[in-house]
Order: sequence, then structure tokens, then C-alpha cells
Amino acid sequence: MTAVIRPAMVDDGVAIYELVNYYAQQGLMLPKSQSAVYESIRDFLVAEQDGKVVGCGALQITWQELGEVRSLAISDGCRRRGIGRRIVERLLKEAGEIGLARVFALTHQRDFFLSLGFHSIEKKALPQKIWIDCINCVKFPNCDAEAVIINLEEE
Amino acid sequence: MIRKPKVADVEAMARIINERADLGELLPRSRYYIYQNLRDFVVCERDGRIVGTGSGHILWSDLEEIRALAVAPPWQGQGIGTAIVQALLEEARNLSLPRVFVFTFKPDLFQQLGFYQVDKMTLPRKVWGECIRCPKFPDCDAVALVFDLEERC
Repeated sequence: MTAVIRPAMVDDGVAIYELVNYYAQQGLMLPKSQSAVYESIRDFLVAEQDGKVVGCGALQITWQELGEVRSLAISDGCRRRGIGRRIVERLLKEAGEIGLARVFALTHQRDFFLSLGFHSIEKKALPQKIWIDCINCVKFPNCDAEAVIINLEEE
Repeated sequence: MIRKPKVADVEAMARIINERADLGELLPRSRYYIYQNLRDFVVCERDGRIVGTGSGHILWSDLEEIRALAVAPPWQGQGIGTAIVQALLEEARNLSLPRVFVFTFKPDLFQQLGFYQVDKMTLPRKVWGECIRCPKFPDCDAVALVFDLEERC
């Protein structure tokens, strides 16, 4: 069965919360409270397969023309099937429709994003607004994620 | 025309909301808030100009709050606020939210749409997240109204 990528509904909130925090516990992404998931549920896409949420990803608008891919997570049994790629491609399409010019991500999967057309960037080159999340991160200031960015207008 | 906003609409949205907020009609909203929550919003466009806006902020799986409903003065009294709230209710229905509430100084607009007044204290504690940051807290003079999207048997 191919996974279907669709906008998240409120009923997906618990599945998204569990998926994100499964990887957050391994230090691979930022944890998200149940409340934060609901408050940003409109930012999320989910991948559904056999009636189950097997992946998620969100597009957070940062400021003016800049957006961020966040909370991208695919359940263990469903990785390496192109689901994450399809989620990011659709998030980028949404970003273009909203009028964003650039989308960045802070990730431990740099090569995955590079294969989607992102390029590496110095974290310091990103606007200060993004640090609002970073300063609340348990790892700050010893961040081991890498920054990648894509210019949508070039696409 | 009621539509979802683009980032280029944020300046106009911020201006309309904060002009009303200066008069104490609703809470001010920073541009940062509007960007971060842009997906919550709808805008009303007339002749290529943004003349009104409003948002539905999801608080939990069963509850959404209508926030930042504002119409620019020349366009008030033409049903634009009502059309915005109707669009927000339609979105909430599509997301299968059962309940929408609002804190407002203009209960009439909402009551005409089927919202009903409730005691603020009957709403879940989650709603106070915004209230404690309000300059008026705890002397709130807004009215709480609720709309049930699930059909009552």
C-alpha cells in the first residue's frame, strides 16, 4: 500500500505527538507537547497508510519570506520508502503557494535534504528569529544539527 | 472574497487588527504572531485590498478559539465580520472540531450565527493561556460564547 500524504486533522494529534517524541527521545529532533501539536496542527501534513499515521512533517512560517520544515518524522517500519521526500516536496509546494521565498531546516539528515535541492548554510546566516526555539532547546548552545536551505524562486 | 492569506498580506492584517486593538476592541497581535499562525487566518479582500481578517486557533482536539477578528472601519456594517466567522466555522468543521469559542465585546455578531453565551469559568483551563498575558487580566469584561459544530441529538 502506498502512503497517502494529506493535511493533518485534529484526530491525528496524538499520532503526531507520539511519532515526534519517539525521535525526540533519541535526541534526533525537538520534543513537542501535545498542546503545541494541536496549536500548530494546520502546519502539519501526515502520511497515512492502512488507516495509520506513519509519517508527519510541518511547515512553520518564520518571518516574511522564510519558512522552516519541522517535525519531519517517519515511523521506523516505513522509512526508506520515499515518504519523507513526498512530505517535504508537498510542504515546499505549500510554501510557494503561501508566498515564501526560502525554506530552511535544522536537521541530522543533511544528505536527505540536499537530495531534495536544499543546500548547506551556516546557522549564523539564518535570521535571529529562529533562535527563539533554539534557546529553549536542551542542547543549546551545543547544537549538533545542520542547517540547510532551499530557494523556492530558483526552483 | 474570503480566502486564505499569503505572507504578503501580513502587513495589512497587522494594521487592521492593531488599529482595532488600539481602541481596546481586541488583543493586539505582533507581526511575529501573525506569521507564526498564518494558517489560522482568513482574510477578506475587496478590490484587491485586505479589508478584514480573523483566525481560528486550535487549542486541543476538541476546541478552537476565534481570535483577532477585525474589519477596517470603512468596511464595517457590511456583513464582512459575519462572513469571516462563517468561513472559520467551515474550516473548523472540515477539521472535525466539535466546538468553537470566542471572547468578544461584540456578542451580537456571534449570537446571530448561533453562538450562545457561557460562563467563562465553564471553559477548559487551557483557554487561560492567552488571558494571563492580557493587560486586563483578571478583570475581563469580554463575553464568552460557544458554537457547537457537532449536531446535538
